[in-house]
Amino acid sequence: MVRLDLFSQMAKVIVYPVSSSTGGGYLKRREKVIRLALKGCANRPFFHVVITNKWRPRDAPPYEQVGTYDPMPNEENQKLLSLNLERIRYWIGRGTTFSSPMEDLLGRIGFLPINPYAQRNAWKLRRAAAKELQEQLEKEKTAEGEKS
Amino acid sequence: MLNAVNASLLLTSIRQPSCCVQLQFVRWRKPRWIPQAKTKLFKVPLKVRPPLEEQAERDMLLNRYGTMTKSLWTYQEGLSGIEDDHEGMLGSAVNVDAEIDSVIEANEKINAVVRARREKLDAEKWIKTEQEILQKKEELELQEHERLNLTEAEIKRQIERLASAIKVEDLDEVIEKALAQEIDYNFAVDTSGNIYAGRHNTGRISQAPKDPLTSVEPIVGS
Repeated sequence: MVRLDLFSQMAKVIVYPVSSSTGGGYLKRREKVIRLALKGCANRPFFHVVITNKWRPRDAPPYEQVGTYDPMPNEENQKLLSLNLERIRYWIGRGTTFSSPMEDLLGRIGFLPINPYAQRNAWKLRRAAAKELQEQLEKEKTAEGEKS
Repeated sequence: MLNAVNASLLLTSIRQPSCCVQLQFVRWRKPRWIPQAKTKLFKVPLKVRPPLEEQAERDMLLNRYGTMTKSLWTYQEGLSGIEDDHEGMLGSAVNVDAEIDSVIEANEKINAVVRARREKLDAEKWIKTEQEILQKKEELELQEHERLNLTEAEIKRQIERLASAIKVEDLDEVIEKALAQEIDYNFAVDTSGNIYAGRHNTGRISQAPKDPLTSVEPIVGS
């Protein structure tokens, strides 16, 4: 079976009109990405969902902020994610890609198809939980046998 | 042996600059000029591969994800193209009012759901808070009651104590009584607390003084 390179498929090569003095054509350094930028302070992470140049540093000023993500569960055990989906759609149309955490989040909320890596991780966790349960049951069984 | 050599190299590679600020750090890895350990030379790490079925499933998922994402991209690109198109913009402007109405309607629907949920949560929270407040009030009342009891007991005790106290109207009488009873302090006391009266004592000899020094048994026999 042939395995496709996911990211080479997703990254759309768009030729922006560039003036001839700068060479013109597709520029790798102009790839845009929708990703999370870490804000907050010590022991309190908070993220901005930003559209920025892929090659720029994390804290560099973005082109646009399209949402926020609070990874710490609040008192109702919710992790809050706010998104401007309209703008995200617009930027997808411009050939913008996502970082993998962003893909995962958007898959969870149903905006994108579920990320296969997230699915694989879920399998792994489920398997570990089943194993743990079985071990616990066996332990209980042996304890009962010793008692009787 | 090689490990010992490596260890010594690691130790020698600890830098101690001669400047006044002491900076010392330990390497977290083997220096690059040291060759691979002989024990690790022919060790091929075992690559864990999933079973064939799972691999097939993984590939299928990955391929499907790629296809779906690609189609989404293409579709959105088309949409963006229409939006950019001037005619397309004009065409969509006709339905702006209807769209806004539908958006407002959807927003109101969501707001109603959220409001209901929030009100429910608020009610629960208020019940909890009320209980807490009532409990605190009860505790405070109990504390106040205890405090009052203590004060009353204290007052009672003081009144009882004052019953034997000297009153202002009895003052002269008491003074006269005290003056009439002459107490003679002209006596000797030994370390065991025994009183030795003098030959010429006139008044009543006072009680033996309650002094810890005299009440304790002497260490050296008298």
